[in-house]
Amino acid sequence: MIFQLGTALLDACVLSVLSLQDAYGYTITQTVQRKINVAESTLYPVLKRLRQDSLLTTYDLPYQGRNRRYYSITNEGRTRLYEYQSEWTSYKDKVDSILFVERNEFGQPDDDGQVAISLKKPESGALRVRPEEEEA
Amino acid sequence: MNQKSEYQAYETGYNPSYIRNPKNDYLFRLREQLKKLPPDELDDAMGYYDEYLSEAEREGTLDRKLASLGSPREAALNILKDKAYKEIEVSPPSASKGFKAVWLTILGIFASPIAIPIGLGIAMVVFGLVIAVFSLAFGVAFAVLSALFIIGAASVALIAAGIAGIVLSGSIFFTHIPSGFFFMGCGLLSLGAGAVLGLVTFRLIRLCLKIIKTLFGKWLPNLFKNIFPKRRKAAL
Repeated sequence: MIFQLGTALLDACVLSVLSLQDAYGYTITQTVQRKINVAESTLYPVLKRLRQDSLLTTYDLPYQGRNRRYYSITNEGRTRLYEYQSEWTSYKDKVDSILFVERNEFGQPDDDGQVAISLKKPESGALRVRPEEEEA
Repeated sequence: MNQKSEYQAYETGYNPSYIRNPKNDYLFRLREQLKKLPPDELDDAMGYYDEYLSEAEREGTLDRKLASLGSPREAALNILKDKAYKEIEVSPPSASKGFKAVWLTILGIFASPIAIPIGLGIAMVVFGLVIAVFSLAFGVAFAVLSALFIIGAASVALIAAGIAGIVLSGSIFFTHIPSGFFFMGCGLLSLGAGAVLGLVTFRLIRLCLKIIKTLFGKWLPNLFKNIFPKRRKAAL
């Protein structure tokens, strides 16, 4: 994992998992871990914080002599989840627009010139723009 | 705050029916790390991990879960860190002093519970030692110097006495020649002794001053640079 999942993103993932159905701590952690390699010991503070911010509620159900604490998403939680989803989409697009600057068939940057246009023309002897020319 | 923690069974020193197994060991060490928390937060955290590990036990994945959870300290740090961040958010940094106090609290939380008093104690001991060394050096230097000056004064006195004796002998020659020679001899002796002593003392005083100059000009500043290397890095 080169890129770290920030606290906000982790909150969003937990909210998303619970938006499908209520679950208890062990299951929530398992589900998130299946996709994202996050440290297990970070999940409890997330659940605690989401609960303090009224994005989640809890209820206890007895099971085999012990109590299971189930977490349930609230309406405010759902609203926050939608906000996170749209934030993530725009964030992802911005990163992609720089990370994946493609070239079209004419060898020109295929991004309405947004990225390339801010790069100044290099002076002679400065950075190479076209590595292919060097090989030729 | 009279409320007692439900997880008293895991308190240090209270273990009438505490069974040693990997799960209980983890919970025991976790409670130790979290004992500074208010009882309700403590119970909440303990309850979560108790339930978590019990579930793992039921599913047969306890060993794997204990391994992937890491040390109880890791889990505790995550909890305390989150709490600290919450406190920064809640209390706005109105004065930089307040902000510093919160950061100091965070650092104190991250360190072991007794690190701050020990750190202060050590700092005071070091400070005291530094002052002691400094005073000692100072004191010795000036004691020696004073002694030398006293001897110098004595040598000046001898020279003066000698000159006086020689001058006096001049007049004694008129009354009694052998006495005159005697006084002249004494005077010369005193003069000579005083001169030699004075010269030696003068040289010694010069040497002392040179030592004092290197002591305070070079050695002690070097000592300070070794004790506080961090300051130098910060300056760089």
